[in-house]
Amino acid sequence: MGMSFTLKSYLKHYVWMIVSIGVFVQMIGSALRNIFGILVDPLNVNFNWSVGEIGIAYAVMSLTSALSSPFSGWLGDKFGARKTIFFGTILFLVGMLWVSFMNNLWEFYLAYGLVLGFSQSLIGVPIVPAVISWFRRHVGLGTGALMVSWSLGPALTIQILAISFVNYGWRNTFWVLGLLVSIITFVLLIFFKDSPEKAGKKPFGWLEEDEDSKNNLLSSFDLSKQRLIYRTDAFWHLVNIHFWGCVGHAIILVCIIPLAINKGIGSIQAAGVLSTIATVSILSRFFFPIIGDKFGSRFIIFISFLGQGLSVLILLFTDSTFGFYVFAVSFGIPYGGEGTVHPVINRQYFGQFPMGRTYGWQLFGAGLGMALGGIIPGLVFDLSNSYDIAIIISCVSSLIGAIIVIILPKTSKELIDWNLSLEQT
Amino acid sequence: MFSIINKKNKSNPIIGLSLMGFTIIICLAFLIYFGAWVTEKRLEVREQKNPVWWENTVLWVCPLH
Repeated sequence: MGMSFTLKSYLKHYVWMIVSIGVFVQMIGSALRNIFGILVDPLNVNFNWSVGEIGIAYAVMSLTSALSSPFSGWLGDKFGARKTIFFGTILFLVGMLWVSFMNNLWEFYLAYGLVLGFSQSLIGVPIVPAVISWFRRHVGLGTGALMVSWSLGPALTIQILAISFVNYGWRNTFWVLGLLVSIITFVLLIFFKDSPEKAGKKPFGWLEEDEDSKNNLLSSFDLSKQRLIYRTDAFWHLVNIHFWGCVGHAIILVCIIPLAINKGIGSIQAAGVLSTIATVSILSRFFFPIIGDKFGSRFIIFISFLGQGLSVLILLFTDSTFGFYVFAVSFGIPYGGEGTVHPVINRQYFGQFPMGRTYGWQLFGAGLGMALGGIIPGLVFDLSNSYDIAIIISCVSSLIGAIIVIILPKTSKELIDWNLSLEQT
Repeated sequence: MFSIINKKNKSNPIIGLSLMGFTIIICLAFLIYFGAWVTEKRLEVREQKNPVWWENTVLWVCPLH
């Protein structure tokens, strides 16, 4: 081995700068979603818009983000993550400023739903493949470090935003936050490089033997070869799996607090159940990709789906605070691992090929799943005066995902021989 | 060109696309059934008075309502 892999060389690698920027950028996406929950009440009071009317903006945002994800992935592959995120940040700034000055409901739909929804996919989709491209090996470690931000984001931003809303008002919070986050992102993008080759560096985990491989540079891939990925069953299964998994947990995330309160749990304890899910899921978001990278991600995704599906059944039988917290731990662990191993399995199936469009399509499935799962609890409760049917739908959705995971091909070998593919071009 | 893809993985993603089709059908069935259920409830509240075009359509589409 030409390189000595000491702990110091690991820690000094430029990849950690890339991962840190990735974590910040991912947190913007989670902040955009979380800000909505605390925005409902001020909009309701200031403009007299109903909760249902305000909720449509969230649905528009989720759908816009989901539908534009494949396009954002394509932009990332074609023009690079840095330029795509830069464009997304400009849209983010426009959307945040527009919301802060809006006075009409249609403006809210356009600014929050369309502009911020599109900016969310432009920022959130290309960042993951770009960060992963910095890892030649240990891609599970990179994914885990990056995915922790999905849980850390809400934990850090909700409190800050809530305090700011109370002290400075929602309009000031929006424009200050939009300006501040945009400036920080623009500065961070100066240090962000799309790939190690663009930075003139070796990726993390690089070995001398990799010099012999023909597909060791991202630029060596012909992007039109993405069609080979579209021709695999695994590609479609992964989009499908992501959809069912997100339906499964979106239902629970939306209904867990009203369900707990409905069963006589205090509102603070009920909120604590959601916090426990978020906290516990930090562990699995970090460790599951590492385990998946080491031992094969198919099994860990299967366990996550099975666990997510079966754990929700606890909610059918419990009405005690203790029971809800047992649920939070049993659900939080598999929930954290359910969607976070996808970048790892993408690498195991499709190798070093630029992952933007593949990952974008998976987030398309995830976004539609979140949108559908999000409307089910309210719908079911209005019809049956109970959340039981919603819980059963959540369970079945996760189990359908688990069944599709079983028929995924083994991860021990890449599905496409890119060396042969490159020779033919 | 198809030989580029490993033999174990078919070049035509029949299973993958079929399962996507299954997902789409399940979701449509779900939306139609629940849409009809909601419509039925709305009409119950209004004592079946003045159903609008989309309420009639949703009830007509759903075979269980």
